[in-house]
Amino acid sequence: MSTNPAIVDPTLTGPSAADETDPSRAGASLVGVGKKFVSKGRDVQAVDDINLDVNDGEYVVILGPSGCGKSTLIRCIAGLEQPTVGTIRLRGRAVYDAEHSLSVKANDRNVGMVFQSYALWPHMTVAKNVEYPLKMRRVAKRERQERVTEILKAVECEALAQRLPAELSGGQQQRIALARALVSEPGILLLDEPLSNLDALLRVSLRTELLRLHRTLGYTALHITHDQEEALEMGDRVVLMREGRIEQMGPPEEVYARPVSPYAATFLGVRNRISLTVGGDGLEHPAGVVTGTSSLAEGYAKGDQLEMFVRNRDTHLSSASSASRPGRDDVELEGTLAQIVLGEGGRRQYLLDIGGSQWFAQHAESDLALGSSVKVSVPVASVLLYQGENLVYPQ
Amino acid sequence: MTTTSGTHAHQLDEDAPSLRPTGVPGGGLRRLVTSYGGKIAWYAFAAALGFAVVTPIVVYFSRAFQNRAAAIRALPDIPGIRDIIITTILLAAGSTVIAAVFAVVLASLVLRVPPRYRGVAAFLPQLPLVVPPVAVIIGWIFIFAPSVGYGNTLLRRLPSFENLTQGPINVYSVPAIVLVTGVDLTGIVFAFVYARMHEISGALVAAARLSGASAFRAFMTVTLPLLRPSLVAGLVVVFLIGLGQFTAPLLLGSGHGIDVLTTEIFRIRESYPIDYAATAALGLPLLVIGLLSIVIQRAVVGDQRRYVTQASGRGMGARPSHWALVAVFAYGTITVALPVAAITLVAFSSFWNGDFGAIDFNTDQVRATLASPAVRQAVTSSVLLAVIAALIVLPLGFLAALAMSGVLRAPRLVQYVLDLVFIAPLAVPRAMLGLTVLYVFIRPPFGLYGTFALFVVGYVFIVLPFSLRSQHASLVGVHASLFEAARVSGASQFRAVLDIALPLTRRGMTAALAVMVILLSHDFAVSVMLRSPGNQVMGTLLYDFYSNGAFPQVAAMALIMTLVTSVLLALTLWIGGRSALENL
Repeated sequence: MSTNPAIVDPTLTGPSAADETDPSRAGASLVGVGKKFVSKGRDVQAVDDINLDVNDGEYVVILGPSGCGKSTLIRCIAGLEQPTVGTIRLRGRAVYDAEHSLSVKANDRNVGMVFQSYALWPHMTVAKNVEYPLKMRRVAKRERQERVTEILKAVECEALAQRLPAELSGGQQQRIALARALVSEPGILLLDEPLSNLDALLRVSLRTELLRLHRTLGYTALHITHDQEEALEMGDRVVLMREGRIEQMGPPEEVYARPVSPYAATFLGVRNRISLTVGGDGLEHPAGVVTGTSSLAEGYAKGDQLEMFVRNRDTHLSSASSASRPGRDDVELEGTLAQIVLGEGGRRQYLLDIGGSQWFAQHAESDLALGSSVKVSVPVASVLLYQGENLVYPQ
Repeated sequence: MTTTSGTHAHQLDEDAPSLRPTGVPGGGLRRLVTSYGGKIAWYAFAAALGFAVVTPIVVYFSRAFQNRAAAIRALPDIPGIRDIIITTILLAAGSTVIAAVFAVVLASLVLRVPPRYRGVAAFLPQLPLVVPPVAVIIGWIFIFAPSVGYGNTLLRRLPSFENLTQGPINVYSVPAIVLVTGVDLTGIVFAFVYARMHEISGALVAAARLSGASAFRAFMTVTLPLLRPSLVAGLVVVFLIGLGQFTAPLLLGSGHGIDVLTTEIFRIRESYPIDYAATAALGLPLLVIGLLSIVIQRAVVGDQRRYVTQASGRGMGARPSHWALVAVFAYGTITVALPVAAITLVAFSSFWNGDFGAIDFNTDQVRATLASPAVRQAVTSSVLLAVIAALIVLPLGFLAALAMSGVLRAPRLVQYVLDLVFIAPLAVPRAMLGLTVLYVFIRPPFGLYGTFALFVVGYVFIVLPFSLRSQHASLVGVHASLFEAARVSGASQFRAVLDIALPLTRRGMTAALAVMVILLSHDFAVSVMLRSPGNQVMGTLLYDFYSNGAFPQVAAMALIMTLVTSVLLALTLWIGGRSALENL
């Protein structure tokens, strides 16, 4: 991507700035980025000390609940908001540097952005919308038309070129917004909850679509979402945010397998949790003992508090009276079967009461009666154990 | 999803000056909306506009306080001042009550009109806002003047009034003025109330009905309480206008011993030398009440959020009734069509003497009036001056709308000042506004006496509030991301305004322009205050004819005024669609 020399801050040409230019030309690099503002006389730290490198061609998904600062972060990268501290570099070029009082304006940052509301201009046709970024970058008319046709073809919307945004369905608007963001081949594509305005079915099919486009065009992308499934499916890397900070960062498999904190586990959809105490013979909960946990309890003092997290899909339910011994590597808890509901994918979900905690179990032997005592067994390898905020098992 | 404060998230981010990269060269407007010193430019804009609007008002009204407020202390000595004040308040209160009742009843009726006709029906109560009020008042004179009004002549044929020589209805009376003014103001209250009622009548009323409330109880317990803020807002505005009402009292009252503050002020203005101090002192209470009402209105508007209802879907609207349509049409006919018919009748007669036999449908008067160079010149001047004033004000309104809708980031103080500046002229009654402009702008450094420029200045004051409203409305509903998308696409601030904000405001602009030109083309109060020999617009010429008692000419002039307005209105509807009128 060419940078317009006229708008590069003079400090950039100085020796200090030259030193700071990243030779690897990573897609984006954020160092110590923070944003604080005052709301109703109270200091709010929206984004706090974010350090993140996005490699060229990488698809990074930032995941977090609403209010965690992910939107603010992406808007800071786009130049729609100002951080208060830190440095932001896009393709090796500093676009924000608090120390050098440098802030390149949004229109000079060479980013593409897909907005949650799509933000298609209602008074322009699809073709005009998509052409606009090229026009702003003074691309010649001929080439503009070629590139618009090309990108519309890539998002499979060539037929819509002369329509107005109001004449498009939600999914089509989404594709056009994407086309507009990509047409100028920006240094980085920012996607601000791009799928959250679509209905569930369309959302899933557009995820695949986005992945396909990313494979074909190979752009660098930063995508934010509050949907953990979307994050895990789409990201080369997932960044989990919590209250303005990065809680965990890594490839989806790793993040999925080892959420670093109870917060991460909860947000990544681990639904079953129970507070345990280290007892004489393994871990105990208020209403009983968890069998098969003597090895887990090793190395802890009696009375230590631990939190156990288990995914639904890792549970197996059997009647309490059944003689079948669990496998050697299973932990086992006892509870009462409260309700049977139809869960995701048409599978039965069993609601249990275990010492006052609500659990969901997925696999069960047949004919369990409501209200009967049941045993839940979980392979010990699937257990997540936390002491305070830290993951202690698996190591 | 964002943790940023709401206002920030809704504005294009313009950086603090110290964080700005190299400046972008460019002209004045570009300067204002682009980077360099954006903040300073906004302050300058707000300050200059504030100065231009507020200074004349302050300068004029300060006359009342000169010589240790001699003019104010002399107020009790004005003959009949007690009656004048009582009549003024009576007129305002009476017409407010009438407007409130009519508006609520009409709004309920319109909601019962079959959906096909509802658009037209909703427009009818607001028709008196568009038809020149002077024409309507003149029409009522032709109908209910005590001895020669056609209405009275007809009524005297009834057995019970057979031996009367005058009446039974006297248009030159306080009740008549109250009624005429009330009907005129109904349109304003209706506009406030109808939109709200439309929202409320959906699911909220349905919920009340399903809870067992009768239609009446649902109205009293749900509709009316929810309507209160918009009703109060409407009534405050209307009471204020009622206090400053000039046209009806002047034409119907002042020749017959009925005076209000504005007509008394006009009487002083007509004598020479003009005692400006006395007029300022007389107008002072109107100004104070006007300012107070703006403060109250702002407070009520702030409160209004508590009454925000979801844009409710289809609830159970009252069952459509053709009688409702008939009733609304009857209202429109009586309040507008009848007076217009009366002026038409007189315009095409040789005399106006109340005798139906004398109506000979000759076109002499109309032809003579149309052929008169003075009339032609007045029509041209009216339209031209209206267009010029509107065009001056339009870009000011656009800039202010950019700041106040958050499209461009303007300092909070600037937004606040602009809000006040654009509403300030509404706090001053039209007649007072005219006198303010006369007093300030005939003096050095302006010296505009005897020029049309004086009218332009006066007209700018009148329409300033209307320039902002519809442009603001068309920007404020637009999601901030539309502008952000342009910025991210590489457009500068200026370019984003040009490519996105301007086209999106086009509709609002057309509407603002149309409304302003229509309002100005039939302005009476300001024009009469500013008139000088040789500089005539339609309103002033009509008043001259009226003062000379040339009634067929008055009728012809009123008719021409109505026609000009109708043409402008038709043009507006043709260009902008019916929604163009929503901002009246």
